[in-house]
Amino acid sequence: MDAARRRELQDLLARLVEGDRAAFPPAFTLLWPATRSFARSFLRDEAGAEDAAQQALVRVFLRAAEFDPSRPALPWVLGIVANECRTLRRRTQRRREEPLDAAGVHPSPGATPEESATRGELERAVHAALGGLSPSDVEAILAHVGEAERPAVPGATFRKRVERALKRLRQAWSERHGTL
Amino acid sequence: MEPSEAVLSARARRAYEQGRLQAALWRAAPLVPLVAWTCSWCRYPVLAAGCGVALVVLTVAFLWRGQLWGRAVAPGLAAGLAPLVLPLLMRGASEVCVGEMCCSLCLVGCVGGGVLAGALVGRRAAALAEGRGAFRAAAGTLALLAGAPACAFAGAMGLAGLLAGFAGGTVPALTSPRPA
Repeated sequence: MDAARRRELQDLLARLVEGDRAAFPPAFTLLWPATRSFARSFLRDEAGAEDAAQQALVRVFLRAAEFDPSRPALPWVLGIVANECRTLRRRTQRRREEPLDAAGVHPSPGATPEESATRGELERAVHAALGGLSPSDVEAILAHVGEAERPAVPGATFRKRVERALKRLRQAWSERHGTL
Repeated sequence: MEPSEAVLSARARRAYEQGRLQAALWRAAPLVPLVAWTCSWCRYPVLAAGCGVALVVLTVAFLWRGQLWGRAVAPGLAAGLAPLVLPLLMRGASEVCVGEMCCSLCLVGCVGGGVLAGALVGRRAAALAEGRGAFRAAAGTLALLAGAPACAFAGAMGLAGLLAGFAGGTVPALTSPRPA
C-alpha cells in the first residue's frame, strides 16, 4: 500500500471512529484487497487465506470504534489480520492432531498393497520421531490417540501435557522430515 | 462489487454497528452507579429512576450515533454536574430572603445550576461552525436529565427553575457570531 493510500486509510478509519457512516464503503473497498493479499502471503493457502481475510475484515470493522486515530492505521489493521491468520492456522493444526476416531475417519479395511506400504512407512517414521521423546511425552500422546490408558491427572493438566508433547513431536518430525 | 463481496460488506457493516454499540455501552456504564446513587437520595425515586434510565439510554444512543451527537455527550454530562451538585449541597440550608421575598436555597441552586449548565453547553455549541442546534439539544437534554433528580427536592418549582436557568444560560451563546 503506497503512502497516499495509507493516508486515505488513516483518514477513513478516523472518520469511522467518529461515526461517519459515509466512510464505510471506501474503507471497505480499500481494506478488502489489502487484507486478502496479506492473509494470502501469511498463510500461503488460498482457501484458508480467503476465510481468514473475511473473518479478519469483519473483526477490523467490529473494533473500528476502538481505533486510536493518533496511531498509524495500517499496522493496526494488519495486526488484527495476522492474529486472525494465526488463530486459523492453530485451529487447522489442532484439527490435524485430533485422533482419527474423534474425527470420524477410519482406514479402509480393503487397502491396496501400496497404501499398506505407505501406511507402514508412515508408522515407522512416527515411531522414530516418538523414539526421540521422553517416556512421559510418549505416554501422553498415546493416551491422547487412545492407544494407552489416560494418566490419573486433572483434565487441564493432561491437555497441557499433550500440547507440550505434540509440540516436541512436531519439532522432532520437522528435524527428520521438514515442516508439517 | 461481486455478490460475495456484497455479502461480506453487509457483514462488515453489521459488525461495525455492533462494535460501536458495544463501545457505547462500555462508555456509558459508569453512569449506572451514578443513577443508582441518585435514586438512593432523591425525594422522588421514580422520577430519579426515569431520568436515570433516559440518561443512560440517550448517552448510549448518542455515542453509538457518533459525530455531532457523540461529541455532545461529554459536555452535556459535565454541564449536568452543576444542577446535580448545587441543589444537593444547598438542600440542608433553609431559605434566603431578599426584602419580603423568600425562597428556598435549594431552588436557588437549581436555577444557578441550570444557568451554569446552559452557559457551558452554549459556549461549546457556539464554537461549532454547524449543527449548533442539534448539539445544544443533545447536550442540553443530557444536562437536564442529570440535574433533574437533585432539583426535584424543590418540587415542580425546582424543575421549572432548572429549565428556566438552563434557557437563560444559553442566551449569550445564542447571540454570539458563528466562527468562520
